[in-house]
Amino acid sequence: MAEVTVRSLVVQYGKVAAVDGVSFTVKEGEFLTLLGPSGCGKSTTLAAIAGLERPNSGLISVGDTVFFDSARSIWLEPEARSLGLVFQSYALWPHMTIEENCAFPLRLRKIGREERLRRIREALELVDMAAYASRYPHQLSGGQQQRAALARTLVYQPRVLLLDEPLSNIDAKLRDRARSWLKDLQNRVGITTIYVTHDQVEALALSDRIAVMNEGKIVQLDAPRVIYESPDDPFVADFIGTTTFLPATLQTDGKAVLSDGQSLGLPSQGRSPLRGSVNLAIRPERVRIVGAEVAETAAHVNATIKSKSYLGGRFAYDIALAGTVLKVESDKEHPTGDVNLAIDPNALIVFPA
Amino acid sequence: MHARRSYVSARAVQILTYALVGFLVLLPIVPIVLQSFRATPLYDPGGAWTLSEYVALWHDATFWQAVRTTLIFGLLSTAISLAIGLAAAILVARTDLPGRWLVGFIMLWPAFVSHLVLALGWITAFGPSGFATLWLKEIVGEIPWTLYSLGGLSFAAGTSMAPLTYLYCIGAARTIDSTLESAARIAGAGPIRAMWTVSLPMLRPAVLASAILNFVTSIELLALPLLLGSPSGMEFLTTFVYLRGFEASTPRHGLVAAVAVVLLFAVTALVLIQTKLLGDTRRFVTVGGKATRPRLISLGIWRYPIAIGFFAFEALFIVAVLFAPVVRSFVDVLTPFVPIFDVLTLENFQSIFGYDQFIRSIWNTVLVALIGGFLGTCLIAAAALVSLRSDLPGAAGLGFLALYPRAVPGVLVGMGIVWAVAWVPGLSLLQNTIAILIVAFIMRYLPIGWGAIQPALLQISPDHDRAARSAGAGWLSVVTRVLLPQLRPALGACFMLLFVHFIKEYAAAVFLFAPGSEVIGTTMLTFWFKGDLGAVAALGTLQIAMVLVFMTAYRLIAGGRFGG
Repeated sequence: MAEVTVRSLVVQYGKVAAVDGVSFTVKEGEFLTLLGPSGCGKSTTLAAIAGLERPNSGLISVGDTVFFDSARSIWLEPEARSLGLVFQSYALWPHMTIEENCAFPLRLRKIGREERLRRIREALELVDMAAYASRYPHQLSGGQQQRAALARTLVYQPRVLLLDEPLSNIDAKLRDRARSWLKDLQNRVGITTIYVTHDQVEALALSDRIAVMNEGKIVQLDAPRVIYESPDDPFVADFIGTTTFLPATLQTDGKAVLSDGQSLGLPSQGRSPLRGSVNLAIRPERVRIVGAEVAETAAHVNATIKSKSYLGGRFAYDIALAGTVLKVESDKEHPTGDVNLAIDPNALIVFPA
Repeated sequence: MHARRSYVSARAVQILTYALVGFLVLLPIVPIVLQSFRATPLYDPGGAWTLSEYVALWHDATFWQAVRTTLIFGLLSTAISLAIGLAAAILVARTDLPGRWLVGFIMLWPAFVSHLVLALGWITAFGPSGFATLWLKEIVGEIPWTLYSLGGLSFAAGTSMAPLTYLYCIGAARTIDSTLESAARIAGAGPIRAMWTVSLPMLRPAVLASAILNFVTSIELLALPLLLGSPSGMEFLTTFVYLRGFEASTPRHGLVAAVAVVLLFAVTALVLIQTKLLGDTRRFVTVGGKATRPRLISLGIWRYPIAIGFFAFEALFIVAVLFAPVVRSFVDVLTPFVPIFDVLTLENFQSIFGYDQFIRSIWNTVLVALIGGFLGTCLIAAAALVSLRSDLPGAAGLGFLALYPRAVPGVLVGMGIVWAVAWVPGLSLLQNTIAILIVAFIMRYLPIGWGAIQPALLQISPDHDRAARSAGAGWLSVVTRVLLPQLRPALGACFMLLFVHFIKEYAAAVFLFAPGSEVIGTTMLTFWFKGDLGAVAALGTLQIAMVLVFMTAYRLIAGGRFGG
């Protein structure tokens, strides 16, 4: 168990930098997620930590052990790093039973038969797979394979657990269960974990901290709540959750004027000294649709419901406001047509246009 | 009415195809099986059914000796072909070996050359008075090897069969999910350990399939055992059939047929085992995740030593063996004691172009390969379409039928057809023409062409057929308008494979050719026994040139790629 340090990491494929100066630290026992769209460099970063990808420059270390340091030409082969990596495909060796899969890393570590069997049993019990020890991988369901892969990884007590989209091959229905199970497992084992995913829901639910990546760089690294509620960057706002961007012009009185002349109030502790053209980011659940029976006030804006769809328990609306289609969610049903919207000033995040 | 008519014509075509393939496959087999129960030739009227030939065989010591030699030779050469082909496949597909592209490319060369030419190459380079042998004798003082021994013969045959192992295994090796190896590395295994524990077991089905196919090939091999084994008095099952059924002044038809039936049974059993044995192949297949960049196993400091070792091996036993006949064809005598420029000559080529028989055999070979390749491709395509895409009852059996010639050694194809021609009324019209060679060659290589067309046809979704049928097309229209156009690359590949094999083929022809219908392979064999190795080398060189020219042309026209 140890702290992971990644500093100024660069991985280049030809002229393209897949990872472009990434730095972060994972504290002992912490669960850090690398989140981003495909091709953002998150899996490459993970592969570099695991030793499967040789970076061009930077530093990677775990505890006191330096895995890679371009300045001192240090490079440790993957087998010398004592990490655990669960692949998206699980990479269970198909010609070995689950038990043999778990035994292989222990054999490599010259662990005697008795101790080996005890540890395999423990690892399989930890993931509720003890009953499947003699099965071959193809005889297991996706969820079982994923748990077997975790057991194979945990059985040799790696210093850090690396997870590469381990839930993406599981049926949507089972994924929620697998997710809370994984969270619980990490709590119990207490192992430092780096998790790679493109699924924001997984990232928000599992992580102590999230590093949002785009085009090879970390855009924001924060706790899930901070990432969701106060994104630093339009990319983060757009990528996490649903966000509509409303073009507006900032005025000296602290109001934002939309293109059709209507104005919106802004957060009181204005975080941006911006002037002129801006984009206002807004989440669908932060907009309130005001029924026709409520009297119109200055805080309301006029808009038109273009279409709606029932999502089960709540409704999603496409609402035209000042020439932009606003995504809004509500648990009340409203007819299509003209409507008033109440927008909490604190729900708006201002980005430069 | 229209629909009814199209149904009837489709059925007619389907049944005709079935019948044609069935006739072709049974043509050599039936006479052999029947003959084995007769003491007198099949075409002699009034012969009686008897088991006497089998009894005679049972008491024939030379037969048992031949069985023993054939088995040892088969096992040895298969093991050698496995070791070479498997090592090459893993190194080329899974590691960062420098020059691995070239290693793989050279590995395939022996597949495009006739075994006759290979035999000549081995003798010219490594035989008792071969170039390399004499050269080494000069330096070391003695010859460290004997080519004309079971070991030497097995090594030569194993090397010549290694391309098949390589092709089978490299296909499998390329599809190994590289995360399996990465997982082994992360779990603590070094690169060699990861290859041994994970990559190698993944190849088990390919290894097994190619081992059985190579064992079958080695059992039915004629040229190498005949030319490298006979000088030291070794006899094999195929040479037994060839020498007693063809060379002998009074062939004992029944006895030879009984040997042939034994051979047929053994090979058929092996082919069946191969199909059954693979069992639950899912244990070797993985469902991959997202398309990750496949990672190669790094050989580290072993990169260059392994590369140099492998290139040296290929230079000696593939490049030198293949170039030896070419060089030999341009000299009077090939020895390290005379500078090569003193013996340069075009005499070998002048002599072959001076003889009618040579010219005729070259011309016949081209005709057989072109016409046979075309007809064969048509028949195989039709058979595949009927077998896989029609509702003809028993259609699946056609596939089995088309693959069965795998289990029929080339010598037996020739012998069976000779007897069929003498026995079935009407077939004698084909006697002594190249038409009979075309029939024999197509029969022998049905499975090869099938292998090119069947996978491509399976790739085309049956929804194409269903869509066309619902749009109003009959079976024939579906085949000609929808399926065949999509199969064009596979048809090209099929023609290419048949052409190359027909150019190389000799075993099926040795019983069938007559003055006027010689092909390069048979003429080479004739002149080999006359001792004119210069002419044999010249013909071999021409054969290699023909294959090269054709493959280059095919590559340019079709943009086709093979192996490597």
